[in-house]
Amino acid sequence: MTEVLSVKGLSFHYPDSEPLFEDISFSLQAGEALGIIGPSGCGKSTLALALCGIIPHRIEGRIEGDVFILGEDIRKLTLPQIATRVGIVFQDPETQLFLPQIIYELAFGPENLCLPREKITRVVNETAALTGLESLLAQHPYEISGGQQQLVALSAVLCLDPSLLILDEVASQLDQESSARILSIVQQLKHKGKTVVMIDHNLKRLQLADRILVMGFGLKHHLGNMNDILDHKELLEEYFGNTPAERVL
Amino acid sequence: MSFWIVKDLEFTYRGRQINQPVLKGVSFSIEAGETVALMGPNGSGKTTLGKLLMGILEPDCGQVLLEGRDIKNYSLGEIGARIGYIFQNPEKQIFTSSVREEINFGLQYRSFTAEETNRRVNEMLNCFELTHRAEAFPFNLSRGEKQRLALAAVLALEPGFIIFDEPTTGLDMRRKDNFAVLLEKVKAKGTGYILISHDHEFSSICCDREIILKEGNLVCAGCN
Amino acid sequence: MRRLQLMQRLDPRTKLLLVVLISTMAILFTDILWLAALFCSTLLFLFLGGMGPSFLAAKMKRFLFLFLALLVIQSIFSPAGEPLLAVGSLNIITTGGIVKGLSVILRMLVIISSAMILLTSDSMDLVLGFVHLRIPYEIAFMVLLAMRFLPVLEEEIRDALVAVQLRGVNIKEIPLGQKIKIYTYIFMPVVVSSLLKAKQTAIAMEARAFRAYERRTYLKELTLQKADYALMVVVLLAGIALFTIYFTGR
Repeated sequence: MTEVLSVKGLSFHYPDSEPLFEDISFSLQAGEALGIIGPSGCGKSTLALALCGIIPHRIEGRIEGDVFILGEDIRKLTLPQIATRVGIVFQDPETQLFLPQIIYELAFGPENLCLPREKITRVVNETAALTGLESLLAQHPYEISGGQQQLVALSAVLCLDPSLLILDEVASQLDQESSARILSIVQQLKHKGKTVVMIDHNLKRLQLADRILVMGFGLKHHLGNMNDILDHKELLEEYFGNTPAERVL
Repeated sequence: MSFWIVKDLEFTYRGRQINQPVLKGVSFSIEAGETVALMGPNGSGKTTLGKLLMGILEPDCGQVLLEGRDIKNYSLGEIGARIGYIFQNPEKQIFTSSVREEINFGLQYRSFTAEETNRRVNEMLNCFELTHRAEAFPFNLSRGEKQRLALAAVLALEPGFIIFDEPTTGLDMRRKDNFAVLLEKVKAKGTGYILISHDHEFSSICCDREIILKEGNLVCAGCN
Repeated sequence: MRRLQLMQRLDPRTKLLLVVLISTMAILFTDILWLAALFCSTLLFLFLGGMGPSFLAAKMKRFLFLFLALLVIQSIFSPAGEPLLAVGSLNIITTGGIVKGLSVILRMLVIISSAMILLTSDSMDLVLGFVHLRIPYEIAFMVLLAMRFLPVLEEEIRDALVAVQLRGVNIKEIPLGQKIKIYTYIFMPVVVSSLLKAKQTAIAMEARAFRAYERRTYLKELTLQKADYALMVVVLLAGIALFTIYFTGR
């Protein structure tokens, strides 16, 4: 089994600031999914940015520890090299889509890598078929629903064929139906061998995760599978307040 | 007299390529002090309806009556004195450089004495637990504090109703509980509120009444 | 009435040639009648592209005050002809001054509206057009992002103005001199929201390997059609003719 992501002793602070998280370690194989949960401000989005190289390549901060993607140190890879290994989708579709037609959004990544036109066409069509966007290719991204926009953002990232997919609160702004649709596609991707890291503050949406990383207890964190988390009374109380386990799921 | 009476409201969004009908003839009324959940999937027209209720948008057909008068005949300032609106992103309505100034902002246009204004500002600071941050620069506050500030600034004007646009999106369970507590405070002041949200669970707990939209049509106006 | 979409079929390079020619004429011509004729021709092109008079009037409305101010200022600094308004021995508004002021305004209008001709192409086509003309793709994308963010900025400003009025600031009652104060109120929320969105878009682009290499390939291909060649020839010839006529008559 290939080890797709390996994180060892990862700690981070923004310049001149207190540490946000400390000493996080885990590794993921192909086809595994990790859920990351925690209250606002606990550092989960920052962790996501560190896993896809945006931190430290584009955003400043002190990182200690290692992140290895498919065996290579993320600090030694350039951002374009990382883009073909790790894809990230964010919460707000509006700021991820900026081209006048959906087909251009999907083609954007492969175009940046100078792929020949025939290959780009093939990749775009295959990805659109996978995520169900074939009939929308000529549409303007702002004239479709939020759920469809997130599908476009996800498809655009998939066109780079990354082995690791990071989803940062992608269903937060969506209603039940759209949220379920995205999650079912993520499930399919997982079966195809993609490794997924999903960040959410809602445990319900992390049910397809094999393991869950709970952040937000000061600098401590907790890693376990869904049952571990639900059995951990102290964790539930600290994080969910007085919500009983049944209501959490 | 109902606070709001909505009659046969229609609204079409005029886009670059297509015109999309958003509301197709919606009618209902809301009484003073009610707590209403305006629900429906994304794209059902609830945000548009919220803006029509605020007079920020004008309907293509139909009428919105606010306290008996057509909302068109009010200035935005007069509407703001009766209805508060909290954007999904509270930063959109922060205009000054300190928390205290922000709460004071709307009050300066009323004819209160300096003492009365101060009293109200302090009352709001206390109510929303912002006293210790009174001199802070608003953009440095945490997300929850910003939401409290926006609410304090709007509630200082003592409106009859507050409309919240997707207040719980992106909030974890603990923060949702905190927000529910804030809603209790609003209710305690006798102010009604409308929650525009696709978070069915939360809204049905915090509101006495549900107005449900689907694809621009009213599915239910008085469900509980 | 259905909007005309004739300009949309043209290659963006053809439109760029047209815009460059019109703008150059606007800068070099000073005669008010020529500028007016140039403006009318530009409006015709815009009309052929679906941007009719009502659309443009709506867009230009907000600049009305600015134009009037410019008119008066120009008139004060270049007095000529008959005085229309004088204070003591100082001529403030003169017929010659007004004509000069109108020329300046017309020039601005021509340049702005000719740039709007480019809006009849979608932003990706414009990028392709620029790249074909050897403009670095980073710059081409900057234009695309500017086009993309202008409506975002407009919306943020609109929302902020609504929010500030709801809070009790009555824009209509505020005297002209203090209107600037309103903009200081909305400055922070608008700038903060807009910058945040811009930053998020930049990160999303980088995460999809933007600027990986010095060049990039493109899915879409631009091809010049007969109509493009024809128009370019006509435009060039007309340009040469008009320049000759204008400058030999001086």
